[in-house]
Amino acid sequence: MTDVIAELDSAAAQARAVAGAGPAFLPPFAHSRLGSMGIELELMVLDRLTYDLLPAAPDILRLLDQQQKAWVATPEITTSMLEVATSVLGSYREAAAQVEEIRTSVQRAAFAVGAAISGGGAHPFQKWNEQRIYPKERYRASAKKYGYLAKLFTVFGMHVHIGMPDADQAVRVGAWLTQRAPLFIALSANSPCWQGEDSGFCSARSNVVGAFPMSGIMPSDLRSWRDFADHFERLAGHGIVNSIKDFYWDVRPKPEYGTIELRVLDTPLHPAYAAALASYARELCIEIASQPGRWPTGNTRELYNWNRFNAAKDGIQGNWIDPCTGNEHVIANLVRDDLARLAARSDDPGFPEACLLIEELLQQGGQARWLTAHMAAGAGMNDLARVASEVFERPLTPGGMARMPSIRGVGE
Amino acid sequence: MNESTSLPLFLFSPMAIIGAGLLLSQIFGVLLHRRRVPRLYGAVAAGLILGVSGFGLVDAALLAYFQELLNAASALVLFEAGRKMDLAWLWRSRAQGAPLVLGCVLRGACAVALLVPFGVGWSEAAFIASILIAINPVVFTSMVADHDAAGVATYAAANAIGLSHLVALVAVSVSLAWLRSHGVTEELPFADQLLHQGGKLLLGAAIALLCYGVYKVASSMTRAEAGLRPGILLATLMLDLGLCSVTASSALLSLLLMGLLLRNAEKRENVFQAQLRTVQDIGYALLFMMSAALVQFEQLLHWPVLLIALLVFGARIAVTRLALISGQAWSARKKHAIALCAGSLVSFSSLVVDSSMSNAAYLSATAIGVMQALLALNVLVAPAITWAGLHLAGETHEGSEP
Repeated sequence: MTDVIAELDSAAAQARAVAGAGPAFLPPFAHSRLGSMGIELELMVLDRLTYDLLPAAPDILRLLDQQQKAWVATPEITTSMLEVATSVLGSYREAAAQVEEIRTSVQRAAFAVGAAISGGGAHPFQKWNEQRIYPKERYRASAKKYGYLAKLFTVFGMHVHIGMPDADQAVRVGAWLTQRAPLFIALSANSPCWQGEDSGFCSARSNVVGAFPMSGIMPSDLRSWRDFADHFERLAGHGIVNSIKDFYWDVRPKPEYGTIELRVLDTPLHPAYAAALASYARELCIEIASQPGRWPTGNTRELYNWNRFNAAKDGIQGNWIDPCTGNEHVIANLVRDDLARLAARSDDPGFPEACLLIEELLQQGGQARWLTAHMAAGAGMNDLARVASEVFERPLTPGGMARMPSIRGVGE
Repeated sequence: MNESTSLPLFLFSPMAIIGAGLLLSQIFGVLLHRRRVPRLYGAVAAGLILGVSGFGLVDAALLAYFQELLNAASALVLFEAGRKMDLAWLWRSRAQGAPLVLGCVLRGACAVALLVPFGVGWSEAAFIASILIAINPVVFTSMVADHDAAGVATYAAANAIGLSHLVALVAVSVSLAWLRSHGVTEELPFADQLLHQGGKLLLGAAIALLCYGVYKVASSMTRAEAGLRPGILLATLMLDLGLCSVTASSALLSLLLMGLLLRNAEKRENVFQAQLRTVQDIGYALLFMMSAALVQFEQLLHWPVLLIALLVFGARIAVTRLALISGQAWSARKKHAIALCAGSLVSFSSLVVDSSMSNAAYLSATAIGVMQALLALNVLVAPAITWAGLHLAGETHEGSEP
């Protein structure tokens, strides 16, 4: 009973801190089962004619709220964004089934109000200044605090939560996962266009996040939860942060859930990829957790930024420098090595299916290459948004393969 | 000295008067906007000052100079209405599509139910009711563009406008055929009249199909990307208008269908992705002319006529709202907003572009009085109601700011 009251108090204090209505608060780290996972997807709401962003998320949310479901749908900072989050998941197949249910429900609700839904990290031609802040106090406060950055943040990411049994473990596994975060940027990259122009990057979205003052990575000298809590208190003392949500790090602990959160991915064009990529992150974390006391080395901010830049720029064809060894790898090859190693030790019966989906991405050169191939074939920005939306509408096939149609087949 | 030589020269140029009117519309619009009044009322105010209610510089006779241009502008507005119709959504999302169709039926039915007890004959009431099915695209489109409105209610209202015109065009053909065969003039028998009126629609539809085919062939041959196709589109629209003009077929239906075809059949690289915004400017010109030629304050001073006009005006909005009850995708607030956005109405000439005909010739004095009062009310009130609807929906850009 006392625990329940403490939990409620903690949740209330956290809510006040997040809303900026109370003092800074860092909740105690909740304990989770190692390997449990959750997926958050930020989705685009599109006009069915022009495929420009459409401010219809509140109407879609109203319809989704009427549905009984294990997952949740919530608003995001602008009214053309829709966030969905799975329940706590235990395996790839569970994840694949739930994201497919989410895909169907969201698409149905969007169609009912006359909108379309799409995955993708950034809308190819939206203008940031035309976006509308969601009519909710928290988002209005963000708009006031961050100025134009709030609307500029109309980008669409996927976050993966991996359950951690204790707080110290979360900090250590988080440090390892941070090293490998650029691999996930490369694998998920699908935002080659930004504000109507070909950015020359596979993930233009990745560059937008960097504009926020608390973006980047968790400092590598934090070696325990105590260190992290001290760091939080120091920043809170300066009024820089008020809650864990003020850290826009690529990987951060999420104490109220008892997870570490990987936040670098572009929302995949099809949710099936989301389940596969989340499973990859999950298996990596389980592997790292099984090696207690081992810490990554060579984690300089500059090296991380370089790896991150390469991944965002060139996607899976990019290079990744291993901070521990200094060796350089082509990301696609490194991912294949990872998957082979992890598949051999995984106890998730569905993980080989996830590996097949990721291999499909690797063979096609990644989602960004698929989109740029469309542009090379003459597609304009609107059509790029349309084909991305059509990929989202494709039901998960029994084999779970071939989400993205051939370039010739699209739109014909 | 001849009196006319003492007048400014520009008064002899209809083009200059219209130009002055549009300039005045813009100036008033900007001034009103600063006082948080919709900019579109600039066109209404300019029309009232220069038109038959004011200095009388712009009247129906002057507008006759521009009949061809006005017809083309009206048709282009309907093209815009057609391109906003999402057939896949209307059909597959029936819980939303059906109430919009029901709204058309109820608007017509309630107009008949109110006009007949007022003393308007059945056939005249049916004719006016057919016109009152349609929602004014000029007011709505211009208001949406002015306030950068986008969202669910805006989308539904845009679909309702296209749908209302399709239904109204057919209904007007039938009711006009009946009126011409049984009304004041009693011309050809009903069947012949129906064939005549229906033939105009069918020919207009055939021309739309032909011109759409031409557009498809031209864009396929050149493999032009979306951004390069508006030129081809403009050429085929002019072709469509020209063919409708020489064959005396319905240019309005023809362009409505062109918009509909392009919106729903052209999936890949849809030409509308090029974001055409010309209708916003056409809207200002048309509203100015409507205000100048259609609003006569004395029409509103006959209390019984004003009362029935107000009743019809309000009832149209009420029954549209009633029809939306079964719609599942919209909140109550959005349903109110859609009904308000559908509150404006059109004139006869917005449905039947044919300078050889005048609706007045087939109507009694009572019916003409009611229709004129409705049109005057429409110009004065409809922009405000549409504006209120968009704001109620929370779908205007300025409404979203913190």
